[in-house]
Amino acid sequence: MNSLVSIERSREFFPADKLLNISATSSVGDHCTATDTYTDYLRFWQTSPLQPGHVVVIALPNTIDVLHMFFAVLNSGLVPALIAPTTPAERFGQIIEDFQAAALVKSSLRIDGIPHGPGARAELIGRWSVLIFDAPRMPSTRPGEVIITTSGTSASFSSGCVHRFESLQANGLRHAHSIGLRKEDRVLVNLPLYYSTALVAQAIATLTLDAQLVISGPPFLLPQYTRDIAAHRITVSSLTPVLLRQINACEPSGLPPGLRVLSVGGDHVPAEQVQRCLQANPQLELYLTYGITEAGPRVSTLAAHRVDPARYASVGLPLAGTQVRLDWLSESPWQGELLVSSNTLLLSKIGRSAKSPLVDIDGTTWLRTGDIFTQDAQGYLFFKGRKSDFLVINDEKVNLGAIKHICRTLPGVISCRTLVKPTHQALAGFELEVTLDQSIVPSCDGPSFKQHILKLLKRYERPGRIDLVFQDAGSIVNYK
Amino acid sequence: MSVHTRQEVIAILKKIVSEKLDLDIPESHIKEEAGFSSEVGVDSIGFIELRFQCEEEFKIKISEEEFGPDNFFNCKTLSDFIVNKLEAH
Repeated sequence: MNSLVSIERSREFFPADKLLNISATSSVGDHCTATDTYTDYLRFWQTSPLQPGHVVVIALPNTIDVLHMFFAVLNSGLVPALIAPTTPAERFGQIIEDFQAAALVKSSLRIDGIPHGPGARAELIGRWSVLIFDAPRMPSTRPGEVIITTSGTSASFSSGCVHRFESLQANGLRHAHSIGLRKEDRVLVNLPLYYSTALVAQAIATLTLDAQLVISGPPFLLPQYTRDIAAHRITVSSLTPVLLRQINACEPSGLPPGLRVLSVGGDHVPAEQVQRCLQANPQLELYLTYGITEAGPRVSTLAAHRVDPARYASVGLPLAGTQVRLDWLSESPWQGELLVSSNTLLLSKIGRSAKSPLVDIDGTTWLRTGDIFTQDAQGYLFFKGRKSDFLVINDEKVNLGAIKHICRTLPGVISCRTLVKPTHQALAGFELEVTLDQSIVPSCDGPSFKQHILKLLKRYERPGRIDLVFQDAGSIVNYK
Repeated sequence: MSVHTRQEVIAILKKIVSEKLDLDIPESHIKEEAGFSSEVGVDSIGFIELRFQCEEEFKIKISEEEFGPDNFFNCKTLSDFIVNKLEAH
């Protein structure tokens, strides 16, 4: 066992020379093109006291560095987990504990804000800070594995999917094949690299194919986006539906002619937006994609420019090597929960009260996606909604279950509920009602209690309104 | 004539980034040359907040064209932009 682990630790899971194919736009900065950072990072992790398979949480912004760090951790036999650099400090503690992480890499650490054990120590690695913890001697993850964080499919924010790197690579290549990505392409990544789509379908797929990867950072500004496409001779880009709507709303709405492929995923794309984009950009290959982190992550692709407009509302056909079936809903016989089977599904789920979404049916392992679909006679999939306690706000998946869960862990909270504000606009929202034991949280502490809740949430997770209800806990008989 | 010196503008910007963008980064850790996007870790919503805070704090209007990486790259570029804007006023 030990000799196997040491072999895995010295194995190069991804060839470092492929990292030379990465550059960055001006929002990331021209100074970030150093090619020796990967070697420095690799040396750091290989000489660290961490055990093979230990998890390293990487909370870095979109840069060339973040990929150098990701692959240095992976090629050192450690397990990288990319998360948002804007993760609230208190949530780091939960993630570190749930992932049994041995180290955290961040741009600048306010260590006192991050829960850590007595043996923890801070170090510098290039321009980043590293906090190394006392982690379990026998990690539950293995060299060659990667944790992709999700917005939480259980009642937890820090849910993570453990994947084999090889299966992420296979999934990325299947997606690349479905959109016609080739070695000559130059691919712009402006979505955060901690998104499974950006990491797998764009970064890993592009680098594996020896195509050129160009990293951009926030904010998304349409004039800058079109300038970047022209300046970096971008041929392939990927956006979310909200960003596509921004582009369509702009006059003139044409994209630079050099852009050959645009893929859109992350949420439902209205058919009229597809039509408008194709009308304004007749030369464009427009692909609509569906995926879920647990699947590795991409599942299906629609070549919108090649199908009848009646199929613009579809997310297309399953990728090669991917089987799907619908688990019919009794209340709606034409719709069903999408189940996915392929050799790129997650190995396991980690996180507080994380439940495996995998089920065995007739000897085959299927992933329960929690998403409701219909399928036409030719097999095209049509997204209808989510079965689970999710809301998509501005293309960000918000886990209402996790928000309620985190509120219920606060002292004095008796119950908590969310109220979704129905709207046809992109900025859907919700309100939060928290019932408090007034003997623990008196009404005079209400404003600071609201602030405390907001500090625990990312900006896009914050409710439009928080109502606090103060009650005498002894008088309550129904806690639902 | 600007009411703020460049150093004052930088100090205010560091305070905004530290306190208003939910980054949990102390002012003292924010270097003038550190990229907001590439090093400090400001996200899309954070940039919108940064633009709003600059408009409020310095009583200026920042156009869509001005709201780009040339001006909003780091504390140094943003302070240069704000000082020039204030002087042009």
